[in-house]
Amino acid sequence: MTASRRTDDQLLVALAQRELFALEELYDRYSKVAYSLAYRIVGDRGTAEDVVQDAFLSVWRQATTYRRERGAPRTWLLSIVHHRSIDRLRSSASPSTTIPYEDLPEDSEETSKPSIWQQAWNNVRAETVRRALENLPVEQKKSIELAYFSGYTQSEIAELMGVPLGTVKGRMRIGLQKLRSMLATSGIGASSS
Amino acid sequence: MSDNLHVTESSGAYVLGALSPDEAHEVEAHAAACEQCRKEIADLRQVVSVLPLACSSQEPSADLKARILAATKGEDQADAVLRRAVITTRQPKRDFWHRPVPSWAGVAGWLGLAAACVVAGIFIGVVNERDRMMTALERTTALTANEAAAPAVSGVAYKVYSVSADQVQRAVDFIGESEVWDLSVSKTGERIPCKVIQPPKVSHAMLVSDMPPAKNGMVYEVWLIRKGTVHRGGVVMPGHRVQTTIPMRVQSGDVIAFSMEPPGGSAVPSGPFVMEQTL
Repeated sequence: MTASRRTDDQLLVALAQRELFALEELYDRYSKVAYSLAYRIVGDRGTAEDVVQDAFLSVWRQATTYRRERGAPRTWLLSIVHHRSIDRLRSSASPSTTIPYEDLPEDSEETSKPSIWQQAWNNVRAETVRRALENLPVEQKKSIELAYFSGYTQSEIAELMGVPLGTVKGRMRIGLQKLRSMLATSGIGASSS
Repeated sequence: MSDNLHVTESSGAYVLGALSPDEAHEVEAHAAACEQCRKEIADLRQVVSVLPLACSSQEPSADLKARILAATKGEDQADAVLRRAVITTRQPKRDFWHRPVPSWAGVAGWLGLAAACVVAGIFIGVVNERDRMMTALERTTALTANEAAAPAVSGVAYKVYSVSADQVQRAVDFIGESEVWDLSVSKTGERIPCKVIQPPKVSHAMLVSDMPPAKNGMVYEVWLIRKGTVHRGGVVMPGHRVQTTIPMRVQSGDVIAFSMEPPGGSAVPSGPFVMEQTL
């Protein structure tokens, strides 16, 4: 990383001007987390790569319409990855085929593109988020994971867990509020990138 | 969900994407006018934005980046073609359609229209508007269904009805309470019929269209844009007089837009709109 490292917002401006280097930089920064998310949801490497490709191409196409109010560029990109992954999951396979992240092998190969400091910071944040999720009551954690990573609706989750719909709603909301509190305490602002 | 009731109970499910489209629309409609709920949703959305970090770190193939960069070159060429297509398909609204259809104005004219509707497929759209529409239509017209061969479109079996002139008249009374907008466009000399129909007292609208197949294995998806918010309308299958249910009521001022999406459609538009018109 150099002192003149561009911000994500600057990259989006460059993308809107069809500057290919901006797409490359954005890819270098977020392809790993985007792919990890897609793979976690769809459980297949080829499909996960298709999703990531679609997402980056969507950003490339829609950069001119990007508005900061929608969220940070990273949030926007990962939101596209998430929606695409869930769509693939719902259209092709049973949600139960997704892989719990505990069962996934850790990829030891470090990407060379982000700086070592950025990588270290990413690792700290990732570990903090994992730990916060683990510290949630198991019902809250399960409700959040079934919805976000497995694509179940609240009604399906209520049926799966054998609890009233209102209980599921409460678990999701309270679980997310606790996560927010834990992350803030750990110095990991949820909105920081 | 009343506007007076906050939607905080559903805020967690909403930001996690665990609500049905109707439920999500209710939350959005309330939040648009409620700062408290907007703030809660924004706060929880920030939490959801870091959930991807909880995934075990995985590395994509080394050539994925090259594939994406190569694809952008094809995209640029396709965009140029699409932009030209958009220019040729933009047409002014036709005032004739841009108003509620009167309930009964001129027996001969409307019978002609009704007969055309039956033959051309607006009836198909009405009939396919699920049970409520079917019940209302049958009650109003006492139609005796003559279930002819149904065109197989997207795995949905449509019913085609043969009706008498009297039955048509009664049906026209029913349809006449609907608002109809004609969004038909001409593309390279070929007219693409497309109508949006909003029947009274139902929570959905219908789009009846003759869309050609999209290119490169993609599909067309329709979007409803209201006050800057884009709502998903569903995938529009190609074919003759295909009906697509738009899962919310439409009104004058709404923008109906189409984009090209991967099979199955997308949760958000992934490319430029290839057609858009204001109702």
